[in-house]
Amino acid sequence: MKKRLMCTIVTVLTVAVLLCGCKELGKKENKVEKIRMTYAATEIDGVNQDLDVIFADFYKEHPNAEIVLEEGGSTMMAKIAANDAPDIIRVSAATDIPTFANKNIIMPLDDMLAKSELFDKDDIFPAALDAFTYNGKEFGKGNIYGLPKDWSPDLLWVNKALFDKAGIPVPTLDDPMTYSELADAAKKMTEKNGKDITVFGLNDITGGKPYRIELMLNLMGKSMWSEDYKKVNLKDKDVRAAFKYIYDLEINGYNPSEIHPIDGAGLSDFPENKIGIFNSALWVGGGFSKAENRTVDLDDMVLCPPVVSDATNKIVTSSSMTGAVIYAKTENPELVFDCWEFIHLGKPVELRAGKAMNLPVKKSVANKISVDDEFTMKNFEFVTNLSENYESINMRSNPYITKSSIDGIITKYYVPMLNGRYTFDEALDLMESELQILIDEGIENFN
Amino acid sequence: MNLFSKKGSDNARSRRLFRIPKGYEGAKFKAFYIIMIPFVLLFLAINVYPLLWGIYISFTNFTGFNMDDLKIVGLSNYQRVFTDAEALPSIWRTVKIGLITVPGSLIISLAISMLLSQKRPATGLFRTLLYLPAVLPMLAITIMWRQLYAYNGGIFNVILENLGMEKINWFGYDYAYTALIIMMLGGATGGILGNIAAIKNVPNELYEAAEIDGAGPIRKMFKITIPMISNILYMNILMSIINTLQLFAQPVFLSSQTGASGDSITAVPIEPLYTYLVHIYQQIFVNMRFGYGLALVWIIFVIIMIITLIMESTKKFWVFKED
Repeated sequence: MKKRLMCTIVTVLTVAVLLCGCKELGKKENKVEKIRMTYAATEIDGVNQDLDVIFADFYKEHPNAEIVLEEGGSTMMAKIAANDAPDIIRVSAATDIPTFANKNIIMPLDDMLAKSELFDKDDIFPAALDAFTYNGKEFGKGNIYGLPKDWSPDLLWVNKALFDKAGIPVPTLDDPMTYSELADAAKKMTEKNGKDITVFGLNDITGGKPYRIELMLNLMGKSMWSEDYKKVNLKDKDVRAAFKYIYDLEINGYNPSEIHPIDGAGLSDFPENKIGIFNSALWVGGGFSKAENRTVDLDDMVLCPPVVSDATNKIVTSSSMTGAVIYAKTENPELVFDCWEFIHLGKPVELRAGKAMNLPVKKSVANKISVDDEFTMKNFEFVTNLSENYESINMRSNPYITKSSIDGIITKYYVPMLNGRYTFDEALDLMESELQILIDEGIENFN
Repeated sequence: MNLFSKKGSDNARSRRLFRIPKGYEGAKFKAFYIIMIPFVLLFLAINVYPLLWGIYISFTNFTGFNMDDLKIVGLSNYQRVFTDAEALPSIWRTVKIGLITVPGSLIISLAISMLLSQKRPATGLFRTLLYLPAVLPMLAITIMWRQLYAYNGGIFNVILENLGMEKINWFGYDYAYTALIIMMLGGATGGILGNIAAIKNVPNELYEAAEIDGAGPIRKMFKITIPMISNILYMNILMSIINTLQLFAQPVFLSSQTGASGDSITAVPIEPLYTYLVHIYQQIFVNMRFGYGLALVWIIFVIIMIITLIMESTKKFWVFKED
């Protein structure tokens, strides 16, 4: 009898615990139900870590809101496929927006921006706005899908001491460096000790190989994609020349690669006189100037205009901008937009720009920035001037195939090619055939 | 009362099968199923349902975005496995890794277990230290190994330089495979606790009798210890084979940032590290070919089941059974 009673009590308790889980029992009165919004990012304003501090002003106006940061990155596509995407998605504009916009994963913001008091189109840097404006085929036209969190055009950091040693003139706005001159300079400045590269003439960390190749082609009016993006053409002589350009730099050790590796992204090597030209953006300058083992004088770390096409010799800026868009299936579009607007047009914009490490979205904010550090301020003003007065370009991006697929396929054959497993022509033919298969699948699924 | 009694007619037997006993036995019967039902439902929901869903998706053209427009494509995803230029080579590559790491891990693990099962000073400390790789997260272990393999300043290259030899690019095409094997063998101590427990359970009388018959330590090891712990060795070998066929984390974390397409889990490892699970991951999360990726998953599932059944069938020849 006792055993039966114990058995029954244990059974009932077990079932009760399993059914209730960890949920609180009973009703809690006077509790405001919070609307939870997720933002795929690991930081917001670059200053504060506490979200309650960052969003203090926002929460005053929206007491029912709760913002949570979550990881984005390489699992984003899986989350989108599972209908579990964050409300606000951090994206790399050039490569993600075509895929997301054409699949209606992200929402156009034009209507909401038209009503926004914080959005003044004339006050936004054109390059920043164009990077997030897309009409299904081209950037700079069509709907606005988002804005960058901050940005900088791709630029050349040069080591003036190494330039002087090699007898190469430092690029200026009046006399920028062309791709051919860049390759020559990289060759002249590279130093080797047996098989080891002790000084790399160039370290290019902008966007990845496919991005750099496509950008080089776009600057001369060419592309690896057909006009309608339905074909990839790696047999074109200009496309092959662009691949060969990158390949020659790497096979000879003028630029780091899988066969001539560099630790990390080489960010600690430039201040240590181990890199002649560092192709990146404004933000790396902060790390360079504060590097612990810096042996390069600050006056020798010169920020120069971006590399230009040999065909045009014209400065055109470009940037693989990081910003945020809103998930099309978000449950609370107006509230999420308010949150997005606060982050990208409100107070956090000024905080992010406060250290002058990158350009803010708004010209008015950029013109108010002032820091004591002369090196940082000088470079910030240079980049602001460049962004206000020079034309910008957005890389052509294929909407039928994702960036990670392009990167994966090109790397899959490029690395063995560098290691002598494929000839140059074999590798490009294999890349082309696999890319075309994925494009065809993408077109089929798109329709 | 035996619910599965063979007495009586079939009808009577089936009535007995589904008849709930009375009294205390009945209460136990009911309690058992009431307690089990939530776990069974959870198992069905969390384990079985996704498996069935995965089978269904493997027969479709799902890309992650076309759930509203899903089409059944029949066996084409499975047929593609045999025409895909990477699928079969990646299986073979994984098997080749296993041909070294499975026996290698077994030998290393067994040797260490034999040493640590002896009563010596500080064996407890060594046991703890050697078992640590099994409890650390794989990402942490791989990051540590990446530091060891670093081209500049990595301990292996420092040793090579001090010996007057050239530094090795451990993540390059020529040595990546070796680097992976070394890393996997370095973490081969996961089974030592089970081995040590099994070794300690071998009756001492057997060793005493063997000593009387003049058997030395090697003979005792092969004739007594190994047969007596063969059950645990069987489990270790089977788990090692399954883990090797599912090799993913080590190649991806070892190769990211070191020459693949960026510092990311979706980066493509170079060919020596491009295992079958890496290929599946690339198909699903990079190329968004969910249907094909799941077909690849089911292929490896079938392979693992076949290997398990083969191993089971060989058990009677070499695994010691008490009775």
